[in-house]
Amino acid sequence: MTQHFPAAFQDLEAFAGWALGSRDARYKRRLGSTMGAIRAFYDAVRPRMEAIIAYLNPRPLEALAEEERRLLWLALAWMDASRAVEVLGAPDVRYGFAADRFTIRDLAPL
Amino acid sequence: MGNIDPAVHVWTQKYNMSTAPISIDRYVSAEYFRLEQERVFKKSWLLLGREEEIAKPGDFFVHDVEVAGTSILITRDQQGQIRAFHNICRHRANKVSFEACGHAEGFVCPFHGWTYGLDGRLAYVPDENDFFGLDRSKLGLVPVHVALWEGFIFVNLDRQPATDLGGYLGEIKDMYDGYFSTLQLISRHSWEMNTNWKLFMDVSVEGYHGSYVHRDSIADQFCEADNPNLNLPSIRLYGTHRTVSIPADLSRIPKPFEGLSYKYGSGSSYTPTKELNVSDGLPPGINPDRVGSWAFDILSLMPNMIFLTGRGVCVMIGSWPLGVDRTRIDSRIYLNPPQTAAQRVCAEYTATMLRDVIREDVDTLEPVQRALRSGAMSEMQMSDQEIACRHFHQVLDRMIGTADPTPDLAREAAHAG
Repeated sequence: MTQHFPAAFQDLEAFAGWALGSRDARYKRRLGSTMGAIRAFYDAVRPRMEAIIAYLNPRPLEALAEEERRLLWLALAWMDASRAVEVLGAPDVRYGFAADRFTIRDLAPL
Repeated sequence: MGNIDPAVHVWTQKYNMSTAPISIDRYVSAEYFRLEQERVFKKSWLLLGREEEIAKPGDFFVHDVEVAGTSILITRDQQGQIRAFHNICRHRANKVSFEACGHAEGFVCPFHGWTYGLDGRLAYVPDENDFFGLDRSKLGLVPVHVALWEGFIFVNLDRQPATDLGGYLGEIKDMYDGYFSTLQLISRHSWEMNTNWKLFMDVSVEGYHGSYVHRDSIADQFCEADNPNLNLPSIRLYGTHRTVSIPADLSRIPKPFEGLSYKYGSGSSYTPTKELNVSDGLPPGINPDRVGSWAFDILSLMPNMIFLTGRGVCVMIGSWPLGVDRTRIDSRIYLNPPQTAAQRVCAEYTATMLRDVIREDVDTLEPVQRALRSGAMSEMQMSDQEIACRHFHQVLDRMIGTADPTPDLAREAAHAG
């Protein structure tokens, strides 16, 4: 089986589908998921976020290995999914301009 | 000016502003839009980008300015000077650059190969001898006035601008010293919508909508128990531009993912806590009245720019008219550059929050535009808390030349106060 994340985070392999490399893709994942799926992802990663940050933080962002980069993407997706769980109580805002009419260009380092 | 209660209508009193309803014609009238095109967008300083987008000689970007019927090419020439031109070949008026941005030695018109330098000079014409007395020295790209402020590139399409950029910025010119230079572009959102461009300008400078439009998302970060309607603690109406400050509820307990963001973040004040609510060291334009429970400010820069300025975070939004009821929004998020994974994760908190909140902000606008077109209403009511919207329209009328002849009442009243 392919290992997506560093060895210390193999418990999160089941959620590798969230480790997407653009904010737009992560957003579409959130919007296209049921609340149950979002919550399962949120619950699994929440107790691991401090460990993920502690693991990645000493490493230069521009020099992350492939599995480290995917772990960062997973953490970024968790921030997006948390909004659905902790704030909205739904995959999307209740009254929002159509998400698919937005063009999102992600310019932050990945 | 009737019906003003000085104890309630403090801003209207302070700035000696009108209380009259706002006419709806200005959002739907083709004639008013034509006046905006001719007297506002073709005469004002327009913000098209930032210096660092063209950091090196040869870097360029193109910004279409549909409202003025043109496309602008911005370059950094070999001497490092920033230049702006109409993106139009002097031969038969094709676009010289179809690329949105890039790096080039010069520009070759794809129609017949006329070639221009980064300084706009016409360098080469294929089969030049076949023309009749062609003087290449007079056929460079048509230049446009360009000027810089705090790293932002402005152009003015008028042949003889009425004021230089400093005069246009007025009081705010020296209030943001160095603020923007520490921030880095981390995300851009753009979209088109079937609304008049001013509806976005209106929704961006009042807090009154906060506890309704944002009730499911962020209202609780800003609405303190004694301020359920998100009354603004600071409103500054300048001669041409305006700022408002948004309050923060510092007693609120952050949710888990917010707590993580605050813990590792770079001190963004869109996510206010007691610890992060610090205005020390910020230039005078940021939290200008040094409000204690402060989240961020909104700067509305005529004609069409909105800045959300906080500690370590800024969003810059352009509302670009494409027609009387068609608008393109270009929204850019700037943050302290994330250096570590933790800071990168926190940047994501801010970027995803802003994306959802902006979607809420603009969700009302297309239904509003349709309703304005219906003819059911002829005017809109605006409260004391919506005075910055009113000021925007007053200045716009002044630029167009339809205002009453007392344009500087607001400024004079503020200075007197």
